[in-house]
Amino acid sequence: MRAPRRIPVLALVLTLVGIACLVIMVFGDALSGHDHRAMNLDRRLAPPLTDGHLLGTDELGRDVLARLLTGLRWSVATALSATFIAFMIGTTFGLVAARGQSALGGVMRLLTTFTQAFPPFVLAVTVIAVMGDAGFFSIVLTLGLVTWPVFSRVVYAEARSLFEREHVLAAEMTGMPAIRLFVRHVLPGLVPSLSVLVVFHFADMIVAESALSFLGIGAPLGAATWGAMLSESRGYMLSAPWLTLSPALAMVAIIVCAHALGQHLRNASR
Amino acid sequence: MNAAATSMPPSLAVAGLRISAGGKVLVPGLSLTIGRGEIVGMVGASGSGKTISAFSLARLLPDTLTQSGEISLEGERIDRLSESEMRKVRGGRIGMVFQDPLSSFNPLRTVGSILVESICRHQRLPARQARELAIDTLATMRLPGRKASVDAYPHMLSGGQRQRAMIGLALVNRPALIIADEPTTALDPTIQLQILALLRHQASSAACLFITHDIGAASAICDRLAVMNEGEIVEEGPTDRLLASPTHPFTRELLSHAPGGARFR
Repeated sequence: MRAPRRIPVLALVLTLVGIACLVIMVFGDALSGHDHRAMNLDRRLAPPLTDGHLLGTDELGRDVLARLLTGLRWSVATALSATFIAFMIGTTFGLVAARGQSALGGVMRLLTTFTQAFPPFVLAVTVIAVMGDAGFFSIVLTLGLVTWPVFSRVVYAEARSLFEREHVLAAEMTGMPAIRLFVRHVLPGLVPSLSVLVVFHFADMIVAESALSFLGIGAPLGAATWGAMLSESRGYMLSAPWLTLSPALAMVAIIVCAHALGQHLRNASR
Repeated sequence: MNAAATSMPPSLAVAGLRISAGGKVLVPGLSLTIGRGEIVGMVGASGSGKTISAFSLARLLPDTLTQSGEISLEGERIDRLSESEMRKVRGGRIGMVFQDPLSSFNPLRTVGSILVESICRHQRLPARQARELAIDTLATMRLPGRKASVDAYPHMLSGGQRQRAMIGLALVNRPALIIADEPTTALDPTIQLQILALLRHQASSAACLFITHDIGAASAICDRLAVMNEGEIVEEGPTDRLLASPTHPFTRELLSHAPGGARFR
């Protein structure tokens, strides 16, 4: 007998949040009724709920909500792309290293250790500084290239144990070539832990991108990103706290949701 | 040994097989010959090197172990083959039955799909014909319901059925050598005899290396026994002779510890 099915509140909430994010990413600042770039120096630092500004305005009279919604688009797009790059590189390297017999595997392991030896954030700052121009592609590429060892280590460890499973050995005993062995017998076994990892990595990438923007080496100057909003609001923290709180709470919310989703996936895969 | 065996090279001839892990020698020098249609039992305690010797025949040792020595399959030296040539040997000319039939099938794929893939790889048959052959093979292995068992996932079959499907997979490409590594250990005693009978019957045209610690099971189907201890074959001979008058102290000890003592025949 199974216990009566409970309503999956968490799954429901997460789905709604996901749909909300999608809608916001599609429509952007149009949802707030203001252009996120429009400045109005007569109405600087207006507190929330004045004159149709739901979250108030910033030091240049720009609508905070409009900037927040535009910022979500940027944050999610960079975090997703960076996660994808890290996932692709890390998974490939991890699988090749796990196979172990070739010199290539040794090189991959060395490269993983080498990349992990540097603090990723410092490495990211350096790479972006060397690349010169800040923009979507350079940020995404940098974050991806700096954080892939997270994936390669997990894939390496899991794939090694999978390769020792009897059914993988049995498949190899039928003369199956290595690539097919990966795709048919090893990759499916990696799905549970990889899906959890992707979600957690996405949350990390949101924070990392915001940190870069905060330092002024992330998004191009003037772009509405959460990190930039936090950075610009520093001087008004006491006089206009909504400038700091809006992006900060938005970031907390999306990270909490991502972690809840990750936890949910982890429990489900057990 | 029959007349045909003298004119043809033995199905399997191993000479000076040496397996080591780093500096530690696990199997110092194993030599073994199995003729066509012969079943040889490799008997020994756990850790005596039976399983790694078996895997080394298909050159499937983990990369922490290294092997050397001559391995000839129907007169051809397979220890010199490249990895891609070796893939044609595995599953095609060497079939293998593993110990635990539950873990040796991928839980996410049907039993039939594994057979079909092996058939397509080695016999180059179109998918439809391969499926027919898979169905026939499973029926020969006396799995119930022709179509049902081909589309069954491993968890839908019983332990004995899974092991019979495994034997089917090992035999489907008519290999020259079948390696059965403890094929009955994970099964209950009533099923064990069925599986052994099936193996004996189906493997009649191939050479079979039967690896077990259960000397009772070995004596039930093997023509010859090779007793292994600490990586070496300490005694080898026809099953009847070996059971009736063991000469090596280790063989005697093994027999005295077996359930039922030495009263197998």
